[in-house]
Parts: sequence; structure tokens; C-alpha cells
Amino acid sequence: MQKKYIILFLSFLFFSIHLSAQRKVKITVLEKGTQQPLMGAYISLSTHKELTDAQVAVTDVEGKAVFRLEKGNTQYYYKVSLVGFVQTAGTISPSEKELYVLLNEDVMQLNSVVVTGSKTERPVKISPITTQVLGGKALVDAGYCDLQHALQQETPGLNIQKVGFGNEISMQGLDARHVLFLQDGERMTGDMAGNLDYERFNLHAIDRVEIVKGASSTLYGSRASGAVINLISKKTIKPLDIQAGVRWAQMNERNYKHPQPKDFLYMFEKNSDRPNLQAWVSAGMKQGAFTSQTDVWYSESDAFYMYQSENDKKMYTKEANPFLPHDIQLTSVASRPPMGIEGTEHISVAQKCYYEPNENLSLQAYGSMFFMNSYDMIQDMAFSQSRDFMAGLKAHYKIKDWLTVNLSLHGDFYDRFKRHERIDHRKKVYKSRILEPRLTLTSHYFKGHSMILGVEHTTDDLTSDRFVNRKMTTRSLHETEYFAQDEWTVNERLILSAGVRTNFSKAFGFMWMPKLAVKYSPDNKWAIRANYSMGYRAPSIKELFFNWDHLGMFQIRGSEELRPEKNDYFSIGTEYSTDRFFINVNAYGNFFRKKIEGVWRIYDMQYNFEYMNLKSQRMLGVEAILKWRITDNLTLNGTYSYVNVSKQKGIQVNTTSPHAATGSIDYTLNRPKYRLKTIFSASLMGEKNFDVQDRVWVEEHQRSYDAYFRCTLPTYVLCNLAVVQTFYNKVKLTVGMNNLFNYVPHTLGSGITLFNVPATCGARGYVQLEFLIDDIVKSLKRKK
Amino acid sequence: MKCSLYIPLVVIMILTSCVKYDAEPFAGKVLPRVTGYTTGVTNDWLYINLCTGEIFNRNKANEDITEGEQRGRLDWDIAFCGYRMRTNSGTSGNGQGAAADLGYGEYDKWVSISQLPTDLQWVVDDHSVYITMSRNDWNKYLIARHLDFEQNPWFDPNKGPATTQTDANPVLAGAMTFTGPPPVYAPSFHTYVVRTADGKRYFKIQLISWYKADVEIGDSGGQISYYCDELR
Repeated sequence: MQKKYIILFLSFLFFSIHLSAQRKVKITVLEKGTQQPLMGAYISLSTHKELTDAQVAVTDVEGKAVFRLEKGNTQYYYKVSLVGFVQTAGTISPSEKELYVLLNEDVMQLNSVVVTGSKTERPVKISPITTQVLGGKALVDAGYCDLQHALQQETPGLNIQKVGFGNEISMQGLDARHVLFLQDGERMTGDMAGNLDYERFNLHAIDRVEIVKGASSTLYGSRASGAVINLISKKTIKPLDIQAGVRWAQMNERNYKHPQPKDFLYMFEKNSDRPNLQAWVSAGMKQGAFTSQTDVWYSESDAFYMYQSENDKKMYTKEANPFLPHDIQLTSVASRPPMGIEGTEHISVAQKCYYEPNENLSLQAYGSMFFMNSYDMIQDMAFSQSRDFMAGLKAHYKIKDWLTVNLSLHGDFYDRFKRHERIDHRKKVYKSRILEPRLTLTSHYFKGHSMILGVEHTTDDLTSDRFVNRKMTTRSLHETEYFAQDEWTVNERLILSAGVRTNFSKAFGFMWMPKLAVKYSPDNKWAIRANYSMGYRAPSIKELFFNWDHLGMFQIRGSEELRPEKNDYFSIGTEYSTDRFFINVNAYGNFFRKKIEGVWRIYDMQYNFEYMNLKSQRMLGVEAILKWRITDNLTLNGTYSYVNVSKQKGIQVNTTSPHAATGSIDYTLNRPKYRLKTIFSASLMGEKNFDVQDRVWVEEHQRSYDAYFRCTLPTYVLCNLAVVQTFYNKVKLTVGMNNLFNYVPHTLGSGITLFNVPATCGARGYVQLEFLIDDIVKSLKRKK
Repeated sequence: MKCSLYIPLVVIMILTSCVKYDAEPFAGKVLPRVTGYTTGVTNDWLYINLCTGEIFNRNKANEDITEGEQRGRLDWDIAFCGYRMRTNSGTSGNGQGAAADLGYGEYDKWVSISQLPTDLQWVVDDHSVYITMSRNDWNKYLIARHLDFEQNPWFDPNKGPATTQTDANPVLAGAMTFTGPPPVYAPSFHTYVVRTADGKRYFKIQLISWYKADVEIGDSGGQISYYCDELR
């Protein structure tokens, strides 16, 4: 018994001595401008400058974190980081008990960590692959209503057009079939001519968007032959983080006044005039090893028409059609009908759960649901519905310092329906499934080397009524791919990256694609990057098997004889960056072989739109990105893109404009507990000149010919203004105007050219309110 | 806290994701069959006697009244071929028929003959209206003129399907328009007044849709839904 008391006494003595030998240091993290506390900031503290064996704490709702440090003369080093802010570091002297750390907003986005270019996390400045990063918060602040508008306004040369029946994307002279969209590094399915339902991407759930241009097939396989756009979703680091928002915008166009239930098209009329409304909630929770992130987004928008006052005119030039006796201009006898731009109603729910019991193991399960009604302006008694379920598992295990195993299983299940507008009935018209198991091993065993080795298998099933006699029929593709890459940091100035991917499929046999990238940094400010990569794109299931008769008028036909198209991508670029100025200029050449295109051909006494491997196509271009923080309050952003696409026998089939530019001026006024941010942005699309395959009657020859007409679409500029007020870092009110100067296209183009006209109805205003619910509730509780 | 947030969200989801079918049943008329080029006959006209409700060529083209024969008959008042219409007048028939445009909508407003404006522009049928040629007739046309089939496909992306002029009412030609691809049949929702073959009675007519109310999804339509009532 006595022994027991002695032990207790000694223990008490030991802890007392230990506690008396400690000092408490309170660190408060504030936003520099508004002086508002920042919750969820990571603070690492160590006696070593390199922050080894660091203590880590996360700031609370008051932006505070407390450390117990050894008493004595030891100096401590600290580092504070928070998503969306510039990381800061410093020292704590032995006598300091309280420290205030001010974080600057990361307006330059140069401190982001990127994964897309190399499949391993590394700072964007160090990455040998040029990666453009768009911060999710910055995109919401700029007032964008969805990802399509955000990407178009922020990315040089990227164009997403909303057309009568979906979206159409183009980038660096390439279309959607060459641009791979990824959600957290995973592929999605359900595309129409390569275009996904971009409404699936919840702008409010995005942490950042990483854009890697050029062929990335080595890491991402088929379809990454033009660019990869990887949307990295949010993952909270706060114990509780709930954000919500609503948005209302002016209607695009009132199509029907007072629709009545007795109207034959009652549902059609109602759906074409939905309010422009959005609401979203983003809820995150981190308790010990468990993290949960939930994102819900609801959005609806109204349909509208675009008009052309003059009749269509088509110019058949002798240059594009040498057999013509002279240029021929045809003016349509009928007036141009208005072009309907569909409205949508959609909801997406995404849930991610992480279990990270220690720094070596991370498990993740995720799932999402998406439902969309697309209300086109075609009075055909039906509208389109789409539905998607995406789910997957990821495991990340660090066996030793030198080997990490990543296992993942990803599935995406997409269905599209036609729904009746008078009878409660729908019909499935499209079903698409992908399943992708993947294993990757990463290693840093060899000094300076970051190696990755992976294998993945893709099963791609597509069921459609457009393969065989309008019956739902399934076609599949199976591919197994191995890839390897090594990033070698030769020294502080030089990084080399080399990789290769092999692909085997029953349909196309064996292929291999190499890549080589180098980054040289003569100092901290300058960087030079050069890159060669081979891209490939296997023909899609549609391109292979489509066989669809369009009401006896024409036929769209796939070809099982198609071979994969390949491209060689070369780029060289330079970058200069300081804390206030960033410029990146990149020149590239993209050389395609056996490019797959759809071509009109007449046989069987009718027109047939047939996919075939064409000859080569070459794209040469230059792109520039500029960010200039002129003062603490004023930031200038600009991008420019030039691309020259080779003609095919004097014919320009590519619809890209050679010139495109975007620009924005951000002005920020900070006061304690208040911030005013004004963003004026503009995007310019240069004149487009291209030839469209068609048919013309030549009077002199008394016969008609296959011919190309020249389509010229004028330069246009779309400007937006957003005024964002933030109160107490908790409530954000945005008022803005899209298409500020009311640009409305006067020509809709003829034939397929309608895909190249900006789908805008003119200037429209909006109001957006966002709030941090948990912070507000906590503040109110504290006040009580 | 989280639960209280999710509940309204789930409610919003349920409310918004449901498609509400609250339209009243269609009280108008529907053509008994599809007419026009898709049946293989270019001038596939379905004739209706508005006074008795009798329908000619109900089952197939030229079953009761062959093309040309209609001119000498006074037992029909209006006819449909695709989205084109005839009245028993002008080049279509020897009757006293005609049609006039009463403007957009307001179908219910017109109930009596006395409401008709005195300066109403009555228009009789002529040979200016285009209809789509059937593929059979197009092929016959090419053979007759020794034209090359490969050089002259029936569907031309520049002009759409081959067309030809026919006897029809030019005012009623504005009741519905076709554009495409994708094929869009858009009614103008104008109300028209049609004079019967005997010139004594008047019927108002408004085309509502290229489709019938219970059309199957994916059906290409052609059984036009319309309103038609007599003005007393």
C-alpha cells in the first residue's frame, strides 16, 4: 500500500516538473486584410528549420491554436498553411507567449500543389509540366454560375458553347474528343461527341482546377491526347465546416406568358421558363481519423432563343472548290428560324469519406448522384433526362519511406432517357458504364527520383438505340494499360521527367506512347520547360459502331475499320514569377496522324456522315498567361492564345479562331471585418473562318457538286462585372452582371456553324449570397 | 446541425426531381393517320368535310379521292398533307372555300361569324406552296430527267429533303413550319378561319402540334393535333 503511494507521489512529481518545464504559446492566425480569424489553418512547429518532428495544430473558430513548448532558450520554427492563402513561415523566440500570424490571400495561385502533370503531389512552380491552376474559391468569387462559364473566361483558347442540344468544347484547335475531364483524377462517362454533361461539375465543391495542355496519354491514356482538365474536389480540414449559398439571376427570355393546364404543351411551356436559381450546401467534418465531405448543388435555368434577322448566306469560294467557275453566293429563300438554347434543371449530391488512422494509411470511399432534366425548345413532346451514379474506393498505403501503394476502383454509370411531356412515361435511349481498377506504386528510393509504376484496366460499355435498327444494343471496349514514369531532380535547377505507357486492347493490339519533359530553373524566378509527348486516342464506341438513320434523310455511320489516331506534341515555354508578377509563355506544335473525323459522303442514294481516319493535321500555337499584383489591392490577369491549324487541300475544316484572349482586373478593398472585391473580366474570341462541307448547284455545268462554303463569324468580346462584399469572413454577397455590354450575335451561322456562336441572350444581372453556417452559429452561441 | 440542414435539402430534392403531369386532357382533334411523303406518296392528302365530319382517304393515300379528282368534288372543305393544307378553292377545288389569318392565339375569342373583321383578307389555293417529295417520286423524277442518283440525293444538307410545288392554301401554309436537322415542326399558333366548299359556313382552326397527345416516345409524329370549331 505504502509502495503504491510512493509511486503515485513520484508520478505527480514527475508530471509537475514536466509541466513546470513547459510554456504555453498561443498562435492566432488572421487574414491580413480584414483582420478576421482564419479557422482550419495548419500550424507546424519544430525546433528544426526543416520542420522535422513537428508539432501540428489546427486553428479553431477564433483562429487560435495553443502549443506547449519546452522552456529554455530554444528557438522554434513555424509554418502556417491554409487552402487559398499564401503559406507563411517564421520563428518564435524563447520569450514569446503569444504570436499573431497574418495570411495573404493566394491571388497568384502559385503556391498550389498540383497532381495532374505527374500523378504525384508537387508545388505548381516545381512541376516540370506546365499546369494552369484555377482556385475554386476564386471562381466562385468571380461570380461564375457554373464551370463552363468559369473555364471559358479563365483559360486561354478554351471555348465551351451551349447549343440547342448540349455543349461543345474546343481547345487549342481540338474538340471535346481530345480533352479529358477528370474528377479527382478519375474518368467520367456519358458523353455526346466527347462532351460530358458539364453540369455534373459542382463549382462550389471544387478546391481547384488543374489544366494540363498537350498530350498526357502517358499518364491518362486515350482521350488525353489534347489536354487534361482535372477537377480536384474540396476536402475539409476543419472539425466542422458548413457553407451554403443561393443565387438568383434574371431570366434569359420569357417564352410563354401564363401557361394554362389546358394548353397542349403545358409542361413544355412551363419548363422553358424556369427561374434562374441555384442553391448549394457544402458540409465537411473532420473528427480524428475520420473526414467526411458532402456537397449538394441544385440549379435550374430557363431556355431561350437566339435570332438572326437576315436570311442565311453561304459563300462557296473558288479557292476551296477549284472546280467552280467562280465564287458562288447562295442566299436562303426562307428566313432563318430562331435557334433554341435549352434550359436545364439538375441536382448533384456528392459524398466522400476518408479514414486516415496514421500518416501511412489513407482509405477513401466516394459516391455521387446526378439528375438532370434538359428542356430543349423542340416541340417534340419529349425532353431529355440524364442520371449518373459514380462511386469508388481508394487506398493509399506507405509501406516504407521508399514505397507507396495506391489501389483504386472507380465506376461511373450513366443513363439518358427521353421523357414524355404529357404522359408519365420515359424511355431509356442511352446507357454507358465504365469500370476502372488501378494499381500504382510510387517510390522515392533513389535519391532525387520520384518514380511511378502503374497498371489499369478499363471496361467501357455503351448501350444505345443507334447501333442496330433502333434497338437498344450494347458495344464494349476493354483496354489494359501499363505506365511508368520517373521524375529526376538532378539538382536544384534541373528536373527531368520521362515516362512511357503501353496499351493493349483486343481491337487495336499493342501500342506504346513515350513522353519526355525537362524543367530548368536558372534561379528562383525563371523557369524553362520543354516537353515532348505522344498522344493517342482509340476510336470511341460511337465512332466504331454507330449506325443511325436520321428519319431517312441521312445516316451517321461508324466504321469498325478505324484505327487509333496518334499525335506528337512538342512544347517549349518560359516562366517568370515573383511574389507580384507571373508570366508564362508557351509555344507548341501538335502533329496528328490518322485523325478521326466525320465526313459527309454520298452513297446508297443518300448522304452519310461517316467516321474515318483522315490524313495528318498540324496545330502550331503560342499561349501566354499573365498575373500581375500591381498593388495589394489591384491584380491584373490576362491570357492569350494563338493557334494555326493546317488546311487540308486548301480547306479549313477546323472551326477554331486563331486568336483568343481573356483578361480581368480585380480590385480589393480591405477594412476590419469587411472586404469589397470588384472583378471586371473580359473574354475575346477572334474572327473565325472555316469551310463547311455542303453541296452546291452550278448553273453553268447544270449539275450539283460536293462543295465547301466559307463561314465567317465575327470577333466578339464578352465582359462580366462582379462586386463581392464579405462581412466578418462569414457572409458573402455578390452582385454582378454577365455580358455587361449586351453583346448579342447577329448571325447564327449555317449548318454546323451554329456550334460556334456564343449562346448568350445579352446582359443579365444576378445576386448571390453565401454564408459559413457553422461559423455564424458558433459566433452567435459565443455572444450568448 | 447537419441533420437540420439535410432535411430541407432532401425535401427540395424530392420536390424538384419529380416531374409533375398536371396538364388537362387534350380536347381538340387529331388526324386519323400520318399523311405526306413518309407514306411514299408526295401528294397524300386527307380530306375532311367540316360540316359532316366525314373523312376521305382515311386509311391510305388516294383511297377515296385521287390526286386531281378533288377539284371536281364539293364534299370536302379542308385537306391535310404533312403540315400543308388545302381548302376547296382556287387551284385545289371548284368550291367557294378560302382561308384567312385571324392572328396569333386567341382561339377561344372567335365564336361567331359576326366577329370576323370586314376587311379580312380571304385567300384561295394556288400552286405556290412547297411540299416534301417522297423518295419514290424523287427517284421517278430523276429517271424521267436522266439525272444521276449519286449526284442528286433526295436529302441535300443545303436544302433539306427534295420538295415540289403543289396546290395548297398559301395562308394556311403559315400554320406550321419545318426546320432541321434536327427536325422541328413548329406551329405558329395562329388562328385561321376556313370557309366551307359551299361558301356558307365558317370554321376556325388552329394547329397545336405535329404530334398527337399520346404519341410514343421516339415516334416521328405526323398525326397533327389541332382545334377546329364552327363559327356560328
